[in-house]
Amino acid sequence: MKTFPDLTDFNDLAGIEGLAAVADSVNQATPAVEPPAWPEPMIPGTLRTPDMPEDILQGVWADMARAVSASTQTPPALGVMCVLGVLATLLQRRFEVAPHGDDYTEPLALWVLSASPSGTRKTAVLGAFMGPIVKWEKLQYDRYRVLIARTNAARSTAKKRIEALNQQAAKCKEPKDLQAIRQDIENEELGMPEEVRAPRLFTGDTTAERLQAMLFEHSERMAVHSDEPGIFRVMAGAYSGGAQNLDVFLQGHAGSAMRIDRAGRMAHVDKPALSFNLMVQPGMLSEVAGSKGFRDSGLLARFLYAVPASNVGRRDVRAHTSIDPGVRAAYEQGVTGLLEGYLCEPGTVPKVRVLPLSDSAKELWLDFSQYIEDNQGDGGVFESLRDWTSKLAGAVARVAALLELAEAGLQAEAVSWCAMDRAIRLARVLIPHAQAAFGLLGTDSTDVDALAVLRWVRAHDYEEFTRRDAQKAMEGRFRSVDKLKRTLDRLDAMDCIKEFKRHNKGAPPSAAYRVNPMLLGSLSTLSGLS
Amino acid sequence: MANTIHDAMASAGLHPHKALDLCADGKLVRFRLMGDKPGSRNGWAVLHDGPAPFGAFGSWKTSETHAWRAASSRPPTPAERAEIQQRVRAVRLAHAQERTAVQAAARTKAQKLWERAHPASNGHPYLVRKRIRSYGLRQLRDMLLVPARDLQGTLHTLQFIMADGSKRFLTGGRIAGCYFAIGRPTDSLLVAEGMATASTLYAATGRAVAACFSCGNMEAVARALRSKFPGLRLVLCADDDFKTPGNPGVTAARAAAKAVGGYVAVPRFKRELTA
Repeated sequence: MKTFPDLTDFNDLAGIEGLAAVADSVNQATPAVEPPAWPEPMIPGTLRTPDMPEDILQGVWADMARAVSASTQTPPALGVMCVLGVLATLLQRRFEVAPHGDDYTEPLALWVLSASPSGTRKTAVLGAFMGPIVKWEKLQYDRYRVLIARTNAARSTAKKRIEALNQQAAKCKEPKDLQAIRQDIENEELGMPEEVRAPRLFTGDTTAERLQAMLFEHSERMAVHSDEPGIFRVMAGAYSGGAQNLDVFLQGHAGSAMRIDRAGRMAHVDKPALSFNLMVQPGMLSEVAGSKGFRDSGLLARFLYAVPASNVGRRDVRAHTSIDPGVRAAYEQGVTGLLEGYLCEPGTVPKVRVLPLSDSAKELWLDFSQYIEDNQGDGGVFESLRDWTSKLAGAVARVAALLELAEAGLQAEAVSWCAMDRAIRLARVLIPHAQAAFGLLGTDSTDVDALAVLRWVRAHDYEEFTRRDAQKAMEGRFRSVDKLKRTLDRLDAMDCIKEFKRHNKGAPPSAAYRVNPMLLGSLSTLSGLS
Repeated sequence: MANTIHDAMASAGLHPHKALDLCADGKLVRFRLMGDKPGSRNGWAVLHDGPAPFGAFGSWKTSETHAWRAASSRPPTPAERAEIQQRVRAVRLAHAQERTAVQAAARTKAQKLWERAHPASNGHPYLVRKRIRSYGLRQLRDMLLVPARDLQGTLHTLQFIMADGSKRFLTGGRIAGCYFAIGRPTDSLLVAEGMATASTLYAATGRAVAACFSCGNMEAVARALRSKFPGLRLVLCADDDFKTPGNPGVTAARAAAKAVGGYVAVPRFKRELTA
């Protein structure tokens, strides 16, 4: 036996065995990389969400958001949403934005909701951002304390005196004396000072009725900042015998006039402004989803959602950093600056200043609005979220105005291109967050259908199936192929299945799908499918 | 460790043709290497002074680069380390600038030689011995000229193949990511090491082939071709250097194929033959 020493390349092969052997070797080439293994599937309703771009906020607002995120080791999204909630609290009812520069205006009330599991330092985040607001309220309370006590005393004695005069009048027999008592009562009523209340910017928990009163009492504006989901229980009717009372909330977002005329209370509010900054556990969103009324009324569609991936399990406990006092002070100064001119005379409401969009900002906003419009129709990618996306363009205008005022100050004349660009970039990121949130809410119909398909696959342990198989098996659910195709596309995007063409002898190929083996092998261990 | 940079150059086999007066000023100096033609300046060196003198030297002809630093009895202080790092960055920058200039000169020279050469005949001894045809080669005297071009078709350097099969490149020319192409790609594209292998593959399969001149350049060429032809099936045709430790031919082909999601083809010999 002998081994040829120098036979190494295709040229040698051609010399020894001919060109056909070369072609054979080339035809037997093997892939260098094995076909990729299946990635871990995502179960519908548990979408992964993108990070918030770091440059959405600028100046002190960005510094504070970054510092809080670093200090608490929380995702930047929580900070960004809190800043937006704070800005809305400070600027709503004083400013509006007019995207077209005409009568159509959007108030600057904003509803933001961050979903983050328990133990993710939501309270610390909220506390850091709300610090200057709490301090301002306390300061106002101290400032008004004496006046409130004096006014209350004067009102109390006047009421008692009126009461006594009424009793006296009841016993009076002489018309002349009665006339004099009536005059006294009238004088007391007219002389009674208006009730004085310390200004408030926000509340944490309230009932619908009390919220109406608060809007009336605090110049038609109020905000709810909370890291607990109690407000949803209130909306669901926890204090009204299970009857939902959503009107005050809905009107507060839209800024539409509120007229309450009930026995014992009256509240006339012409232009209410109500903002929300809520931080709740994802599980609580499912509870919220229990109410069909929330979705149908458009209540859920009014929120901008952030569902960031939790940092729990990846935090470095040794890497604790405090918020830089300079950053904290600058943020407080920023908040105080925007509170300039906030107070108005008791019983009056602030004058609204309308900000138009600059020409370039308007073009940008119109492009984005058209993009949303083009994709939320039947069969569009936002079809299942169209109630939410319908309000997105308006929300973008609101966010852009808030960013403009936060950075340019209260003297801002118009919303700039820069602010609009960042608001739109934020909105683009918020879309997948909303999809994730609506998935958690169980109200994204495509997710619900996708989950049903996965259950069907699991029941039969299918490793592969055709689109036709699926449609035949779930005829009731999928009346149209389009709807099924959309559902299967969603599952494909979530790495649950992969589409391929199954060739049929003498017939056109069928659309078929391979199932991620991880779904079949350990299906029961994957949450959301049990 | 060599006591001076001159000792280090000597031990690396890069002797200057005459005594080199190297100033420790951080400036790159070019010089003629011993054994090179008069007028050539293929050697280069740079020397830095300081608490721990250091430098680098190499040859544009062989593309080798060596670093040198003076032996020191104590570790550098943080300040010294920062200073050294800054100087190393300066050396790298100077080297990169010099390399750009050298490559530009090589491009010009390659173009001149290419224009001066005439189409190679199939009767060239190397082609005859390898039993291949000339696909776009040129000949200058008895040398075969193989062009190395980049994705845009710019000629960067030439490979010279002598009648006895010895090969060399134009001094200082860029080779990374450059290749010699035969045929036009349709559904797939083969990548081989040498020109002779590429010609054989083209003759055997009729598919377009790119010769990348060495296994070390295979991945760079594969990546470049993948960026130009994202949909093509790339087949990396390896030389089976089974007698060399680590089988560099197959290893490089596999790495390149992995990098671009390609395929690997290895020549299948009936190695064991009855004597």
